[in-house]
Amino acid sequence: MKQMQFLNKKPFGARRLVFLGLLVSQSLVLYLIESLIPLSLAVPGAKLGLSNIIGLSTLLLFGIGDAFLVTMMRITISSLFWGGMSVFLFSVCGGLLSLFAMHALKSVFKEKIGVPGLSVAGAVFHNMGQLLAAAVVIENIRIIYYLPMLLLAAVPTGMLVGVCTHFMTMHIRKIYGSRLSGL
Amino acid sequence: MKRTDIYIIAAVLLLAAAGLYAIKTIQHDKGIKHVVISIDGEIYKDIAIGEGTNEKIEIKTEYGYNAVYIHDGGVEAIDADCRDQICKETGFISKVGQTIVCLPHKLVVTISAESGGGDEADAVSQ
Repeated sequence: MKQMQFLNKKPFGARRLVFLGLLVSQSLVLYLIESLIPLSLAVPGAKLGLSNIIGLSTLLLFGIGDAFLVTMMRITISSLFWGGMSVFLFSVCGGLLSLFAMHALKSVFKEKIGVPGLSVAGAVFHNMGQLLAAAVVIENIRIIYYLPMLLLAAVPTGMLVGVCTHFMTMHIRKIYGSRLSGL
Repeated sequence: MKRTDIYIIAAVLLLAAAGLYAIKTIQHDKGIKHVVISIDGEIYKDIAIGEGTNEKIEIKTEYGYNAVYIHDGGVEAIDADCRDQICKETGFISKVGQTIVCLPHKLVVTISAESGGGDEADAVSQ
């Protein structure tokens, strides 16, 4: 899987800025859509993790640096609009832990690991990061009791996100791959 | 789906099952039960509950408003002015070790076997 390193040639080239900006706005829209789906009725605190479609796609297409940028932008903007300081803290802990875990798995297993596996692992580490942050904030480790239920929820949601990511990266490669690589 | 994916998913499911089983063995429904409400790590209220305990408690702090209803040997969150309402979705809890958490308000409601929110593992071994 060849990464589109060409986008990194000029650090602040217009094309790269536009592309990353589009990714950030897409993940914000997914974040909004996700908040309309009351999945947490079944498992308290569970979410679909749709924004991770963009996070994981960026990681697969452009590498960890750009994925970090897009994730941080998404978290910053979404907590400015809909959250606050505590939401920002939880999202950063979950989001970055999940991103680095997916990057580590991708680096270790390379072609042996598929998108659904990466996505499920990302969901698991997102939950762990958020629970750890929550345990620190409320100074009560017992919140860890939520983890098994969240792990259970991470499998179907992670697989859904993985399948979406698979198609997203496949089509972006198909549409832009050859055209952008000449730049 | 590659083989590594299946291993990852199996590992996660196994971990979840082990966790659920461990929690199930820790939690129990016997003996004296206390509802311990703590805010920001500090104990706010500690109420021993019996068969007939029927009490609504309103909690107003600098972080926000919550209401819990103690009844039928357990407790549930009935109102909160937070955004996510996860504490209400947790529902009714009645076993020692079960917890309701309201993250935005730093509120934790636990059922404990002893006053002061002592660790339930110790309570079991007593």
